Amino acid sequence: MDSLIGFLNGLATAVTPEYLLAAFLGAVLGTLVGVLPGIGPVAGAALILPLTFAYDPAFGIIMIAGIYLGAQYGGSTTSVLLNIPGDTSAIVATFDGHQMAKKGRAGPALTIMAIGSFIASTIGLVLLITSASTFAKFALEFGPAEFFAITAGGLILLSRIAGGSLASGLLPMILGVAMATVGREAATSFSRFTFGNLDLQLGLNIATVAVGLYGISELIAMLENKHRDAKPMRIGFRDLAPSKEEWRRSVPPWIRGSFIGFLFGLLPISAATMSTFTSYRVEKAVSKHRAELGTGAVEGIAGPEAANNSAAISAMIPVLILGIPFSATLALMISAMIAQGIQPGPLILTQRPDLFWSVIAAIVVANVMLLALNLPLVGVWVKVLQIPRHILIPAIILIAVIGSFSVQYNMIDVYLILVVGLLGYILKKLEFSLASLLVGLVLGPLIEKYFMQSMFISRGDISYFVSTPITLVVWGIVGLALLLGILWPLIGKRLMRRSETMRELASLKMDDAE
Amino acid sequence: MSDSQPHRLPDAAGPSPVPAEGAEADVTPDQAPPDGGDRGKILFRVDQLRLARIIFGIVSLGVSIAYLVGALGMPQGTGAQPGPGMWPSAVGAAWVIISLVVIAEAAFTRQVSGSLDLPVGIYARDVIVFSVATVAYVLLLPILGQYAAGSLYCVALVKFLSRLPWWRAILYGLLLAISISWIFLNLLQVHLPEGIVPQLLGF
Repeated sequence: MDSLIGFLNGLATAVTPEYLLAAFLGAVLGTLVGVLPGIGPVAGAALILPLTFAYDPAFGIIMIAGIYLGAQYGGSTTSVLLNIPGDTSAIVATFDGHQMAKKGRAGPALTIMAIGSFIASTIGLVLLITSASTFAKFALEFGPAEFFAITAGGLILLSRIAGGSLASGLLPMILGVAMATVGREAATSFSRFTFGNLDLQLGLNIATVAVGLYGISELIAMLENKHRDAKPMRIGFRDLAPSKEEWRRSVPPWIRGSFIGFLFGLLPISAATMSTFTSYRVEKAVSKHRAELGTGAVEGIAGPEAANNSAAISAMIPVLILGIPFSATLALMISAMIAQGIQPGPLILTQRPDLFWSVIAAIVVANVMLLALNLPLVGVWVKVLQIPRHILIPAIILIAVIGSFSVQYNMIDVYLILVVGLLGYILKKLEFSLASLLVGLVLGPLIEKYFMQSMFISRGDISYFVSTPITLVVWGIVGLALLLGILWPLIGKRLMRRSETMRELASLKMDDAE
Repeated sequence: MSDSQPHRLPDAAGPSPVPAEGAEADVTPDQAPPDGGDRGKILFRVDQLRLARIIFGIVSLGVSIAYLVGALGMPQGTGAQPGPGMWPSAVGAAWVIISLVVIAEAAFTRQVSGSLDLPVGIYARDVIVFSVATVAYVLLLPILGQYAAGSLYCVALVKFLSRLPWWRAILYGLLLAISISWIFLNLLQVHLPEGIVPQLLGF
């Protein structure tokens, strides 16, 4: 009941002109960065993040949330029209979405995805509103040891899952954590790794690092992309309507995808991407039309798209209630909150319920706006795809430089973009996970804080870190994930060798028989 | 959402797993010299990506050792009263270990393997133009100020990333740079370096 009243109060705040504008700007910019291939949601959010610092906390956070959701909507448009996903969470949309487009059903595919996204976000929001207080009460029981386990353990798990091989996730993660130690230490003001440079005292700014890491490396990827001159097909408003059969077939995958996505959003994994693949597999297993999947089946876009958007909503729970982001865009949202003087965590619901509920309500508003923006304006988004890169690239760099400089009015942030951009490019080429670095940079100071608190409380007793059931469970899972990461290649190699030997034996027997 | 995982599609952007021309290709048993080493027994199968990761791992190891030495030079405190150097020391030690994991993984396993997808031809030219122009813009920014440096940057990129004639490149570049700079500097009141040259000229 408290949640409902809180939400209604939040809704009243969210529909004030100022916050409506924030949600609208966020939704438009988010769809824009989602639609543009090469400019992902992280780069987009990072470009805009510094500019939000000029406004009040709710305005900035609502804008970032709008970008986050808008990018989920927009990212799949290029998957369908060009077979190029705007983001990793839109990869699955290429499987059947582009096949539908090839059959002349691009319009209905986009409609099913937009409506599915709206339904999934709404289901996700209802689940979030009903469960937020419970999660917050549960989180109130947490002490430094639990928070250390969740932040450090969650980061290791994320890097393990998001990064491919063991080292691909762990190296960027530790780079991010190490970069977070640059600047004045919080408790003693001791300068660390500043090399006497006063400009580095405040540490490395996350928005700057994100722009360099994602923005520069994605722009270079855009220049390297051999499909950069691909032209999208034209779609008119009249081409958008799905058939009765397509509507009917979309409903069950929408609902299944919404629940799958919600569950995934709560976990310390790349929720939006992994939920889309899981939803696709589920559809392949349970759908009546599973044989058609991969050839342009409606189920192949309805389920994953719903999962993707529902995960985007439920991923807000660990962000707002635990203060822990499990994706790069959400890491930016946390940094926006911290920059605005708000410490996300279990106390946010009791200390700043107005902010919490106005953000949630604004997401509802942004959701409605996104539906209104995406369908009627599909022709506009297709036109956006046609902006030549010789206009797009300098414009993005100019905005990135202005945005980064405006954070601290310091040229060091601008130079940092170039250095981190080079690092991001190398990491990307060598197939390391960039998300682990950014989340590591955001979580690094939090992990250190909980580490220091735990050491103070326990008087240096290391066993304090595994003194409660929650910590034991978290570290158990982390240990298992790391162990599997080390053992799996060896097991896989042995299994492969065994199957090769069996095959050779079988072929020898065949030869003998002949 | 994993925002950075490199993704490859069969039909869209993405490199072929086949080593590029001129790349250091894998040595397979039947390609090995008949008299080579242990009767052609393959000890390492190092392809482009693995070699690059070994080199990156070695660089990372060097930096991590320097970081660890720096961290150990800070006040460590005690277990009950940790100092500002304790956490970076732990991070540095973990970084050293992870760097070794990167090297070992690339050298002894085929977890990450393939060719390096480096740009060639016109794509390489565009990347170089972009990189040089961007570095020049950032270096010129404090000297020329946003309007002049931004305009030069936009004109250069519009010209070299397109086939437009000079007059149109100059027109588009100037329009782009001046409109973006005006929106942020004058409309949104974001401050940027004014530039030494404009100040000297009295602008």
